[in-house]
This record gives sequence, C-alpha cells and structure tokens, in this order.
Amino acid sequence: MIDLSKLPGTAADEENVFFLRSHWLILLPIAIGFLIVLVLPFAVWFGVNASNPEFFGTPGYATLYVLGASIFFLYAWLFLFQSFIDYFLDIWIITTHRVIDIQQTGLFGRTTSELLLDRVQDVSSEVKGFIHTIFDYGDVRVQTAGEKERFVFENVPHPVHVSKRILELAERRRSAQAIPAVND
Amino acid sequence: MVSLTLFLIVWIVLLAIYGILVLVTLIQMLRHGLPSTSAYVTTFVFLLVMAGVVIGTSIYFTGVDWSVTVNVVPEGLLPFFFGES
Repeated sequence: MIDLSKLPGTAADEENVFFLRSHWLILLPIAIGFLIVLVLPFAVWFGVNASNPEFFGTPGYATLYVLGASIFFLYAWLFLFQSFIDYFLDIWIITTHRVIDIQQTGLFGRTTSELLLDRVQDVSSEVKGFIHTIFDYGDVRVQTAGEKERFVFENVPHPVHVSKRILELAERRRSAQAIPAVND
Repeated sequence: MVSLTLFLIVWIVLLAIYGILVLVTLIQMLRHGLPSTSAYVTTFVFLLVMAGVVIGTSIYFTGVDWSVTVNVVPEGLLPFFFGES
C-alpha cells in the first residue's frame, strides 16, 4: 500500500499536509445501480413463480436458477468493488512542497502527476448545485503560469478551505525559497 | 436435453475466471491503496459477501442430483415471456 511517509522524491524537510479524495456521495449512483442489478434475480424468481408456480418444482430448473443467479451476483458484486476501487484510488496529496495527483483509470491504468507549490499561480474553487452546496463539495482548480489548467480536484469536500490552504502553502513555499540561506 | 453437470462445469469455469479477476483486483487495491480503516473494511466486506455466496451455493449444490437433464428452453418459461396461450 502507499506509505504517505515514504512518497517518492520526498525532500528532507517535506511534510504531508493532507490528502483528498472525491466526496463519497459520487458513489451513490453506482450503489443505486448495483441495487437495481441485485434485485433482478429476485424479480425473475417472483415473475416465473407468478406465471408458473410449479416451474421451480421441476427437477433441475431450481438448480439452473441458482447457478445463473449466483454467478450473476458474484460478477455484479465484483463490478461494484472495482467501481469503488476506481474511486478510492483517485487521491490528491498536498505536502509542504508539492501537490501530487494520482488518478486510477480502470484496473490497470494509473497516472501520477506532481506540481511544485512554488509554481502555483492561482487556485480557485467551485461549488455548483443544490446537493453540492448542502454537502459542501466541489472542484478545486490549480493553475500555474502555463495556459492549461494543471490540476483539477473533482468533487472534493470543503473546496473553499482546500483552495485557501493550497494558496497559503504556495505562498509560504515561495517565501521560504526567496530567503537566502545564511551560513555562519 | 442437457445434463446439469454441463452447467455445473460452465459455472466452475466462470467461477475460476472470477477468482482470477478478484485476485487481480485485490493486488491492485493492496499495492496502490492507502492503509486506512475504510480500505480494510471495504475489502473485508467484499471478501465476506463473496465467500458467503460461494459457500452458500456450494452447500446447496451438495444436495443436488447432477444426473438430472433439463430442456435448454424450458416449457414452463414460455408463459413468463409470452403470456398464457
């Protein structure tokens, strides 16, 4: 597993400030979809029983149903877990020196990007929509001097607080680098 | 008429493929996940439910007569799809 205390390229005086994930609410549509899928085998059972109550009493057909329904459920359950992993392994780590963006794409795709805090020019936050406002989650956009937006933290909790914190850290980092070292 | 044993073999093959997918998924989770309570709990719940279904169906299968043959398109299902004739 990832050890936050042993991130690659960690400087001697670098400390982890916090790490972010998208708000858990974005899992809700997946969970609802899974519940609907889960109900399907039972719906088939009730439907068949309603149209032909003796069907599952015939030798072999109940077993066929159990075979089909069990493997259907297992694959649906695995799909739900993989969707959860896709969400769970997307993280943003903010340290005193940099911002690390780790994005999981499916099971076998993983992109890691880094941005030094002293290059951060602008950080903006956006909370849009009723549900987003009630639960206080939204997007944080981190901009460097380049044209293209470098990082977008999607659907993170408390985006206003996060953006302020990143700006503070970036300013602190620039100040620390502007002070020349004094050697006695 | 097809023997139930054939369907059992297909089920076992699908379960083996499923097992490989679960293994790969768990390796990814363990390799890239952050060590946290939620990671452990969700993985445990996933494995628990999966084991429950596999063990439950296996226990059910011990009481099944696998020599029984079935129609691939059971007559009893026709009213379910096409209504009463």
